[in-house]
Amino acid sequence: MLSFLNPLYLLLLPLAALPFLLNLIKRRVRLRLRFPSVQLLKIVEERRARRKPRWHEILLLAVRAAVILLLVFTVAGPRFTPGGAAPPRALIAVVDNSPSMTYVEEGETRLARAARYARSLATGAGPDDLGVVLWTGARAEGDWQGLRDATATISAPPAAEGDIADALAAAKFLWSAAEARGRRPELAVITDMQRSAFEDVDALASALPRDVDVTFYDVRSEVGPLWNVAVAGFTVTPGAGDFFDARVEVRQYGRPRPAPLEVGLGRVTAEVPAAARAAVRIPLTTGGRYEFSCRGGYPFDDRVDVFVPETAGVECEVASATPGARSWDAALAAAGCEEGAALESTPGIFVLPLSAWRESSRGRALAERGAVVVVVPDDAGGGRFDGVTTVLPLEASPARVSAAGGVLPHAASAGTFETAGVAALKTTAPWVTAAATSAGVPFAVTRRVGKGEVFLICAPTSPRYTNFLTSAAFVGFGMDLRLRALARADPAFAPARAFGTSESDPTAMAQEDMLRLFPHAVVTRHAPGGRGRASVPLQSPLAAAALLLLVAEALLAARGVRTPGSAPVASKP
Amino acid sequence: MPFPKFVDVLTLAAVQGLGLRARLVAEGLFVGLHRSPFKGFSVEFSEYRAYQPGDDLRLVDWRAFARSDRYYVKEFEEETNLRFYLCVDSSASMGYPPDGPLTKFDYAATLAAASAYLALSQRDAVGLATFSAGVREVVPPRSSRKHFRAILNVLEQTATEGTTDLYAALATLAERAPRRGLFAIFTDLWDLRGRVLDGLRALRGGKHEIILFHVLDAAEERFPFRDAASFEDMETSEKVEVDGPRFRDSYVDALAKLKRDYRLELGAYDIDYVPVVTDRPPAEVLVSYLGKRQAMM
Repeated sequence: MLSFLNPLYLLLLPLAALPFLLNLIKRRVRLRLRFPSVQLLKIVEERRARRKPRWHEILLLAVRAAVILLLVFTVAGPRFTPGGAAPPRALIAVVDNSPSMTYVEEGETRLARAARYARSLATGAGPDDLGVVLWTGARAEGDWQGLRDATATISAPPAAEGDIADALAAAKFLWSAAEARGRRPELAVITDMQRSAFEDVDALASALPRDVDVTFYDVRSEVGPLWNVAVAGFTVTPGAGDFFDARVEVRQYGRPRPAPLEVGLGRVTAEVPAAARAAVRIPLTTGGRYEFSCRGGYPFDDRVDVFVPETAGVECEVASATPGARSWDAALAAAGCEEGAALESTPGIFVLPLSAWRESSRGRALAERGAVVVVVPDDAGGGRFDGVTTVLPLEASPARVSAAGGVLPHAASAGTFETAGVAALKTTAPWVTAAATSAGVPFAVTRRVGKGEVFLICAPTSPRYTNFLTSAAFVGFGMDLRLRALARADPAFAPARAFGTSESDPTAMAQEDMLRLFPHAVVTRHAPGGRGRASVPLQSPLAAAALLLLVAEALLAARGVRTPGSAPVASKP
Repeated sequence: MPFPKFVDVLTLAAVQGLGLRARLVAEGLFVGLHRSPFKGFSVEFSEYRAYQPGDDLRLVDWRAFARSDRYYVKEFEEETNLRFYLCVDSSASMGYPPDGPLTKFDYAATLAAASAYLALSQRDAVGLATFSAGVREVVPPRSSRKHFRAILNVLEQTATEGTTDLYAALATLAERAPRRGLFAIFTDLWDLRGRVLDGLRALRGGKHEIILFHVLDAAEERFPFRDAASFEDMETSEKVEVDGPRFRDSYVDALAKLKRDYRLELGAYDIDYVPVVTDRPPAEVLVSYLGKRQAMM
């Protein structure tokens, strides 16, 4: 079926008659000349007419008219939609409502987008078209009704685990019903292509009727990061004279951002390339409080105040992840680690509550022997100081922590930390790198202790952050820890290979798998339109045809072919 | 200021009066040929006599000298039986270009009048005939100087009109000129070729010597039209639509072939064929032709 993006341009179609009209007009205004040797002119003209038939001239006019027609059609934006006058349809829409469909991309959940796609399936539906909507996470059942009715009142049920195999089985049953007979069976599967939804599909896919038109609508966003975690950190080293150099490093996991990041300490900023791992050097004139920023779409666009003591060799690391990123376990699984493994179960990593760190020397002893110790705040250690940051001088004994304030003594009043707190740290524990957020985003502070490392996770103690290890904000941080631990334990383990900068979504079905399961299926990321078939734009072929005709016109003209009345004015010699 | 060798056509066209125009052309002839072009025009060889000092060396017959080792001088006598007839085509096509400074007829009349002036200067008898579909005006041959005025009067008063029928005209003239004569015909030859040749054959049958000046306008010769147009015949009002630039080469080729054919066919009858284009100074045309003619004699 032919349709046009700009049908108003079709009003220009009568322009195709222009060559013929101009020809007629030219004939009327032709000047007549009296001439003595018309005898000879006639003889010569007859000879020429015998050599060059008049149809050449008509052809020239036709070519010009065709060029105008093609140009008008081209600007009207013609699109061809295969199918034409197709028989009535019996369409079954299978909508994936597994938990992964709750993922937010471009301001809406995948499930909301799937519901929108399902409603679009009815666009252009005829009165005889039937439809059923089946949900993978629910009991797959339904009855035939008019396609418009079936999709008009669609609303997504709560996310639930499921498999499209159940939906396919139900679809086979529905197509065998009397209502569907004589109609073209169509299957539209709207999903985010997660492997978990296709586990039991093999057998059923091959058992589908051959004449079913299968289309998979992939609702995953093409523009947003499918999967991205970043860890930003810096190390302060002595620079020239009394100055310091801060080496800021950004690590990105999953799909790197296409645009560079801008990191800054205080007023000095630098651009970090959008690579998996990149670092820049920022000179600092003195120690003290700096605002650490990293702009480029990450949550730590929020400013982080960093206290840099006048002692070299301190490190600070801030981890963050894209909003809506997967949970801790899912991220680890994506990295090739054992699914479901917790940070605590990783060899070489110990997770201690802050109260345990403070009250026992066990954590420090573990770190000194080479372990990685992650200290997480808890009620006992951090207390409930709303809106305030937990800071711990890592190398200090609990006594010194206490002397330094341990958990700094600041009240609920905002802003006291930056002044009294940092100032106190500077005088009492100058070797500590401390960081605080100004907008409640959690961060981590790291320090080498003996052969090992201690990581202190600092966060406002709001109920939102009680479960730090599964907080999306710490996915990258925890993942980095885990990968490093795995690499230490197994030298053959290559985090870069397992994690790297792969742009593919490892949890989704690959194209080849889809082709194996559904050899005749169409997989598209475009929303359904019309009768669910993509239309083919025809501008390019039409423009090419017009160009060819113009070349043909030029060739004809070069061969001396002119239109019958191509001379409006006969000039005098 | 030296007198120009040949007065160009535009200057000539600006000169009022055919008589003055003819004299200008004739002056050009005198300058161009340096001696009378008249010898060989209407005189005939008579006898040889022995060379005497003071005789014109040009009259010495060098071939006779080669044979006999003596100098002989050729003597001529006026051919009293020979008449010089000027026949000018006055059909409508000779009026081309209708709005130009000098039509083909004007040009042909200038050539004819200049020739008459020269011939009368040599006391030759000169007659005139104008023709189109038939003979229109005839001025019988006379040799008096005053006769030049009569010829001019007819040429000046003749309007171009009617179709061309060379056969009818020339056959009539052949009948009216029983005595042997020299015919100079000025025409554009836009007639059926068979009729043209028949007419010339009829005239040649009377033992007349014929010089045919084929007079064409520069536009006819080169067809310089930049666009197509509907061309209407000046004599028959027939129309034909042709495209100037595309058509030009074919037309020029066809005209060249026509002239080549005329040259061959007329040559077979000992008729001198002189193609003339009206943008060429008339004196130059005459000098060129007469020069060749003198060289041949």
